[in-house]
Amino acid sequence: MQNRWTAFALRRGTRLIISLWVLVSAAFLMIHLVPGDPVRAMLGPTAAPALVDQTRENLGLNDPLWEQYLRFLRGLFTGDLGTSITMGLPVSEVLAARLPNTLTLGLLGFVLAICLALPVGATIAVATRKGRRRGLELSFASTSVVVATIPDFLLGVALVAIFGVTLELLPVAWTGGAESYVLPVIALAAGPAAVLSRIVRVELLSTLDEDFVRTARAKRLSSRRIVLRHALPNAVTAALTLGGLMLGTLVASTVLVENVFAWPGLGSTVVGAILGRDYPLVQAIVLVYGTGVLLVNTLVDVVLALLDPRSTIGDQ
Amino acid sequence: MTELRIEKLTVRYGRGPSVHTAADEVSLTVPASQTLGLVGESGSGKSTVARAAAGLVSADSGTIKLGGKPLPRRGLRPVQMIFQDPRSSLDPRMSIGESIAECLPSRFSRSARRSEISRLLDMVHLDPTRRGARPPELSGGQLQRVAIARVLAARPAVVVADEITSALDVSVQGAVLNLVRELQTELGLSLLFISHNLAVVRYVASQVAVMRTGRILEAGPADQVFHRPQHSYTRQLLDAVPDTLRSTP
Repeated sequence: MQNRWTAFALRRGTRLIISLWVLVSAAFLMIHLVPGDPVRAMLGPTAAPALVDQTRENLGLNDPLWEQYLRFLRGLFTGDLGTSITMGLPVSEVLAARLPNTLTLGLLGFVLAICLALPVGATIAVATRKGRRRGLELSFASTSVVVATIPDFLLGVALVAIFGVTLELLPVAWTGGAESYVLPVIALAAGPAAVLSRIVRVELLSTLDEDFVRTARAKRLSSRRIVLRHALPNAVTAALTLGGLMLGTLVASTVLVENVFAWPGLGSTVVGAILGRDYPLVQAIVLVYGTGVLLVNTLVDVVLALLDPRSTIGDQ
Repeated sequence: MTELRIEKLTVRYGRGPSVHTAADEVSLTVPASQTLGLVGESGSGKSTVARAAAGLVSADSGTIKLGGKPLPRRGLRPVQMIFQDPRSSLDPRMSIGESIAECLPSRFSRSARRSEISRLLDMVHLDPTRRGARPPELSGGQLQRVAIARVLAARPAVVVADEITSALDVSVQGAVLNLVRELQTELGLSLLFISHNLAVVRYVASQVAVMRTGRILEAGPADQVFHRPQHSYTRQLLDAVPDTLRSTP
């Protein structure tokens, strides 16, 4: 068993390192794949040739490619990610200021999605078991599909229009206070919560038909204990897998939501950086988002291995 | 132990034109401290009768009485059931000790629970130090022993064993049957033993009932049913048993 865990850690660690290397290399090559001269594209067609030459020199683009690559890797390890062209600040400083806001938003959205999906999915599963309450089942199915298919930025705009502009209950944009988190977090969490609650319902319905749940009924345990102690822990593996993968995409969704709510995070920064052709900053933010998704996927694998060793590491 | 009496039990599944009568006015008695073997082919309604007796299926009509009284609606069920597949009948995330402990009466203190779990595991010939093991770590035969210990923890008046050897390797079937017989004798259990295997039923049961398409065709002492069957279907079942299996296993 010890060997299986070691093999799992080695397998997963190797996969993470290779994925990170591919990500870093893709981010490095990004600046070289821009059609034409990236510096000219960055500074615009009217920029003075001297400024273009100076910027190219500052970015090290005159050096051989392998030297640039090594310098880029060294910069990653030392925290030197270059200087933002549009802001005139070190990229690491920009990241340090913006990343916490994006992480807080993404994590709160994830926590809300899980906190909504588990009880809602479980309650609907228990209430609609064996074809009971068809009306409730139909309402849940249609509502969850509608909520899951609304793009989060559109939901964000709708929330702003209703709660910010019409009812004036909550701020329409970032104010720094706790109340400014409410609408963006709901906009981020609603779609994933709808999808997850459907999965929780289906998985729980299937688990409630398992033999060990029948055994629990034979013990005359309370329905609450049967669902919470026996059925739900065995049903959440699929929901957690998808939930974990959604955390990665949820962080990426912050790009659009942050722009709707003028949120001072990486999402709004990357849009400005792309429009301003601020390549060093775009490179760094792409790296941060990509690394975030890879780390989340690895974390999900580890959690699943701990929860269900049989299916993940082949432990018998 | 107490007598279990089932009278005119009818259980139907489905509604309208697709309704299926799984048990049709079934009457049988599990005598106190004896074993009643219930035999019949697959789909004859044996498991439905077992589940109704254990309170897992609602009866459409009929009565189930324990010692002359209706089954209590609260507290631990006095009729406990051992299921066919031990691997799927135990929660894979719970240790076997926890699974057994869930059946213990609430009056047990923490330390009393611990020693009771050890006693029960010892009773079914399992090492008590394995109480922390989870079902995937045990073999089918060991898991069926855990299932038996779980049932005994509930202090049942009657035990229903539903095809408890059919999911096991032939090599461990005999060991589990010997254990059931040993416990039945030692504890004076009232046992409803369900199987499609006549040889197995003959080995453990003193009384036998034969079921087909939801009805009891014949019932009586094991010797009488096996040696002087009254119903043609019972004779067919006996004729289908290979000669080598007719003697006691």
